[in-house]
Amino acid sequence: MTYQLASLDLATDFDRPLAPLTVPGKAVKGDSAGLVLLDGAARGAYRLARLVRQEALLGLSVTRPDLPVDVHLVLVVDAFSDDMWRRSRDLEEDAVVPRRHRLARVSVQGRQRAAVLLEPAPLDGSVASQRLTVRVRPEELGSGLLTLGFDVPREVPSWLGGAVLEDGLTGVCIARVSLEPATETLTGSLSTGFAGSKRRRLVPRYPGGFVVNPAPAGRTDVVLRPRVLEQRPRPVGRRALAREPLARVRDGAARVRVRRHVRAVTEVVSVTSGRRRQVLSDARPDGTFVVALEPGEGPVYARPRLLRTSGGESRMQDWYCWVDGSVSD
Amino acid sequence: MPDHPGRELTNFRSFCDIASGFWDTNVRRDPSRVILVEAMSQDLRVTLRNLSVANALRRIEPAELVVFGGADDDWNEVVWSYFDLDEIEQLCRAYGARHFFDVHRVVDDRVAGRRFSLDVAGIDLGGPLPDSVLDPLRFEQIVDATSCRMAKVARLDGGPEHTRRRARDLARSTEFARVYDALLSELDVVAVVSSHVDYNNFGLAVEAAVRHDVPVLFPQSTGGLKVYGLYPERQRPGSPVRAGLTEELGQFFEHHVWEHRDLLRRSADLTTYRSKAMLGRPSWWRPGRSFSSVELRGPDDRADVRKVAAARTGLDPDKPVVTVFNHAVSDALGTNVEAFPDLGAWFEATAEIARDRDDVNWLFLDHPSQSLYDATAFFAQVAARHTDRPHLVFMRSMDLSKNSLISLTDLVLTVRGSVSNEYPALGIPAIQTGWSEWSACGFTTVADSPDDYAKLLDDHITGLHDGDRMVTPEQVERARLWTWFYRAGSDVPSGLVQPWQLGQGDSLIDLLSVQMLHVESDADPLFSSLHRMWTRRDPVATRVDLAAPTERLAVDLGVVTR
Repeated sequence: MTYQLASLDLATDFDRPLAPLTVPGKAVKGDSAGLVLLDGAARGAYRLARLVRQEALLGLSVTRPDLPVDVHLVLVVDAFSDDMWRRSRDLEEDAVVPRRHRLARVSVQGRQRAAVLLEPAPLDGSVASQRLTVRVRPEELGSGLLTLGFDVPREVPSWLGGAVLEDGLTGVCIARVSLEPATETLTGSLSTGFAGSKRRRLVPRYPGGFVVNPAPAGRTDVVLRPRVLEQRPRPVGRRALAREPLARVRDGAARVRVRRHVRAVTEVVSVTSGRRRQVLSDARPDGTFVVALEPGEGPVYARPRLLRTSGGESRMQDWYCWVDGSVSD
Repeated sequence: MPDHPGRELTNFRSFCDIASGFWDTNVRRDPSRVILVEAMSQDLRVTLRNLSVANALRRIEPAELVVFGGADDDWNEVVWSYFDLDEIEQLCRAYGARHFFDVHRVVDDRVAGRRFSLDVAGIDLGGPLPDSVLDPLRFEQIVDATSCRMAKVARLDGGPEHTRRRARDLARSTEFARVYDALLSELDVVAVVSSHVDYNNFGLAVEAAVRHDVPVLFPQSTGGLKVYGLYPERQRPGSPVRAGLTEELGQFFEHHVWEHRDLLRRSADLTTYRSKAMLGRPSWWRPGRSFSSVELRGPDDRADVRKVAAARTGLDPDKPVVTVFNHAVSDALGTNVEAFPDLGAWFEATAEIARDRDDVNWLFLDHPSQSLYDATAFFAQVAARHTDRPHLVFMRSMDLSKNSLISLTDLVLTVRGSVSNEYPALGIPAIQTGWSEWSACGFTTVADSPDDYAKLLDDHITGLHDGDRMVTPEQVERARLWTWFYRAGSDVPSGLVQPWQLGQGDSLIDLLSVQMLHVESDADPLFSSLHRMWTRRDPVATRVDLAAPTERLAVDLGVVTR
């Protein structure tokens, strides 16, 4: 039982009661009545909030539901994120922000629930967004305060370290938070720090891994397909033409390499505990591999490598990945 | 004009002309009397306040201004980063200083035995000056405090480096004391105006003033205009200069603030509400509105955020949390009554007590500015001695948001920190082991010895376990009234001073210029508040006459009526 201080007196006559968010409901701007607490974040004018520190907490007042609720978050990285990052480091306005991913860990009601690898801000002025869904039970929302915590894991796998922007939470935008009654089975989700096509996310050989948030219930199957170009696009330009023969050789080598590899090993590291394990997968007839994650694992980092039939790992491989049965983006 | 962080003054010269003309017609002079004014801070706002107070006093007590300014190598290395003596002297001359001298240079020349002649109001400060008659023990305390500050240590260790430093500070202190004694004994001094009362350069002037029955006006570096008065007849014999102020403020608060609590209740609540939102905070409070606001609405929010904060810090949310707020360990040692020999001793003793009390959580927080005051990693050293006690958690205070701190803290421990007036206003008890401006106002517990402290701590922890109210509703009300008194009742808004938050750049200079050129000076609150304070010997300048009957006070404050 959380200790209660008998003499606590936080209220003043000037505190304004704010209408809580209902379910369904959403908070999309900084002046949303439901947004009652910001730590390490500033209210947005056109979005909900921007993170300004490497640990942040948002508190939303919600009407306590009777049934589980899905909390949908949209995280955005844009040019303003880069501006804030520059200012936080006293850099010039035109200083180049390293094109690295931003890694965020998300807690709900004090419990780590998810992690997300965010793309760098697009150079064309558009935004990079990532969606995340966390399911909350009614009893978790005891008093009606939904707390969303954001921080950066202290330790990340060495293969990811160089790909992540230092102090990367600065400037990340929490664009909106919406609440929906939980109706469907919640599947797992993953993020690679790169834009995807429909359900598939690209996992380039560098950094070679991604982040998975397993489903809260039931097994989460992450499907991996080695990226092989069966047909190269027509080269355009002199440089592309000059490089074409070498590129074809490389693709051919990749196709040969993939055909020779019938097993894959995926390093799975818990974002919360750092516990590591290796998951061996045999190639399925369609050439994909499956990594099974249990619901209790929590968010994990995953890095797949092909295993040579002759022994050893092949690291020079791009992948596509998706969660089997995942909700489409 | 050299560049300084935040101070690139475009119109400083023209402002000085304007100020000179303004003050020329707004003060009265008497060449036989002087007001001694300190100008030894790099921040123009500090000197501006000192000069404005001195000139306001000249409207009552005609006098000339004698300004002592400057800084030495130690101050420039340890404390200041952009001290500009020329600029400060220009400001002082514009405000009518008849004499301006670099007291640090005088002291250094005297210590070095260099011959010089410097006539200040008829006194040759380069000539032989009698020894000071300051109490030797008090003198040694001031020397020690200065050495600790310059060395950035909690206490001197007697080693070669500290011994050398102390010898240098002793020599300087001896000359400071001689110079100040000479000025105060040979001149007809109306008052000393000083922004600080600590260390050898500031403190010895204040001590000399008190010894010569000369009042000290003590402007504060925050808010609009806040001025304390230290009156020789009100000093506690044998106690530091701030002790008498503590007692007087307690009485003043009782008679003029608590007495009007019904009238002031709404205002006190509004100030507390604004304080939670980081509005109107004192200049030294932790900054960062995104991180330092109190947004918890009540016990339910507190419980929810407490769980999150406890998970982060490794504390047990089901047990009471005692939060120990470390001080900047070399900051102004020995300037008020304290139960422990120094700030570091209190912190170390508290950690020792905590070792055997695992029935509660202990959260030890560093001071946000400790790097400016400590070169020994004092906090980390203490933490390293207690790694075998998991119920003691040592953290950087700026790693925790104010919401987290309020959600976790069930008892505040400090010597004299402002957390001991901030937290009781929210119903969280505080134990102080030293006196402060508010410690006699009835909303904190003050220990008068280490044994008393240990007992009070034990009693409070027992009370927390038993679910007792360790802060009464009256104490919460007193703490909120103190917040109002500090930020409003004793904060004088004057166009001739401007709010501290305005900074010390062009905005300040331009607003002052406009005020002086285009606003008639009659009834400026700087003048009326100083007049009231001086003639009544009040311990603090007030925004309005707090001794007025309730009906008139309501009018003067413009209170909201139903």
